Amino acid sequence: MSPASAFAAVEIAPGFRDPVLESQATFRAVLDALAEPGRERDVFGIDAAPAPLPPVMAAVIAMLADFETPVWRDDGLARAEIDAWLAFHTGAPLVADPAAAAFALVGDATRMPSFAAFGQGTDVDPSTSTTLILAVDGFGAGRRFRLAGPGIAASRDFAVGGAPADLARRLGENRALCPRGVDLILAGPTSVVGLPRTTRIEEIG
Amino acid sequence: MTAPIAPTQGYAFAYLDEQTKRMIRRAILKAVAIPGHQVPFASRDMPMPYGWGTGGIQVTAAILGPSDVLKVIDQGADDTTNAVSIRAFFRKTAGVATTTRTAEATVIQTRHRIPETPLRAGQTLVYQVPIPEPLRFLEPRETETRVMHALADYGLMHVKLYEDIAEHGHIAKTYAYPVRVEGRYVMDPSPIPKFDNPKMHMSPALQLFGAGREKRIYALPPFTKVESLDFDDHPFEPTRFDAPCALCGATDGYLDEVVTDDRGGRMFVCSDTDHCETRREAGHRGALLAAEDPAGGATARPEIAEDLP
Ligand SMILES: [Zn+2]
Repeated sequence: MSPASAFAAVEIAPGFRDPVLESQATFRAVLDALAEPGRERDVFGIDAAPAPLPPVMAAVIAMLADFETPVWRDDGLARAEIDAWLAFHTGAPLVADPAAAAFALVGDATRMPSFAAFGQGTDVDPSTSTTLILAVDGFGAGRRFRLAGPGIAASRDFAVGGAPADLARRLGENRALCPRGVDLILAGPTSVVGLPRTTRIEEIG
Repeated sequence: MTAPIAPTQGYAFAYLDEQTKRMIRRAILKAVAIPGHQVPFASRDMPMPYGWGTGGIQVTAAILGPSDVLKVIDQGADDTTNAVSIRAFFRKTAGVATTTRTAEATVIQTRHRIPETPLRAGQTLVYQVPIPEPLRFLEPRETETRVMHALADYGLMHVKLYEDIAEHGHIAKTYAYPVRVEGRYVMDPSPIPKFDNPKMHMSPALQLFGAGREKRIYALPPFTKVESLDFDDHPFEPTRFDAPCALCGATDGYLDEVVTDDRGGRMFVCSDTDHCETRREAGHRGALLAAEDPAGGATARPEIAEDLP
């Protein structure tokens, strides 16, 4: 180990180039995504984030997480370089218990734990539930869903590749807990889609 | 509209530090995910008193970006001290473009009104909220009201409203009239006149509510069902006005009664100054202007003589 490497920043990949403005732009994309479920919103990813942390997921967690928000990540993302990057850029405590997480990073959505394993919030304050950030292959192709609920005038169709095969069943069970339950941010290669707990979902092929 | 400028050096963008913005942003996202639920947040001290709408200012500061166009209204008017000061605050700290035109704005911070011009997709309305808890006047204990919301136990609220009907023949509340969101949470719409309540229902705009002193944020995503509480035999009725606006002749807006002279003269004019000016620019004339200046010309809006409680 060279003397310089005692300073973590020497070996840790950069985060946002302009933290103030890029955080704001990422936030508005995520806000709009959760406010209008199923609508794709562009996000500039952090390309320098260590693989296999997807750049858009990296931007979303860098915008949201800090020392107040425990972060859980699945096995594929639980790597030393990613942990060091998250610790350096967010200061968030990394936790092994998904129920304790404010944010959960899911790199392989097809093998993710049950939504019930994550924090569900309480009846008095359902806002304490986990927000799941799921890496997906992209939108516009793949499984097709019809959505309804707050944020949607009548109904909205959307397609996603690389989501769990049983996404509609999982979200249906999650919605039955409402106002408790988890919220989903799907992170594609260049954009996000929000699926909050209130959204009704039906698979249409 | 004023063009964007470089923020003044020496301030954090939009005043708040990044840690505070992150905390507020997380609260806003959960508020959007649970429409009508009051999300606690660690409200910060702001460089103005609570009565100035520090909750709304913190929400605006957390969402605002350099490409936004900001409008600020106080009881419908862009030109009150409160509205002018908040607009100047964000102009200085964020350099954002500002406007008085509802149609041009991307973010509208408001105290006590919803603009008359229908809001559109892509706009965000930020409400300054003094008391976020609609059940407060029935149950002062916060621990109890939280449980009532958790259980959706709103029986007491309905009893109170029905007592109003028994006593007055109608529900007496004319502002801060409670609503039910998506059939679940009862929510305080802030002290807007009940005239504005129907505008919240299925609005294409995002609506965010910030209560600074009480440390609560809540939200209505676009296209959310918002019903004013009522009864089958006493349906909700928004306020109606008998006379049109004296300046622009509008019959579709909320009117303020204003004193016109020291001999007790009174007239009704639009509370929404942008709505009134836009109509006058389009050639509409109310009774007062038609009488004194049929050809048009700028007439300043009289000072509002009374305040909402
Ligand atoms: Zn008018």
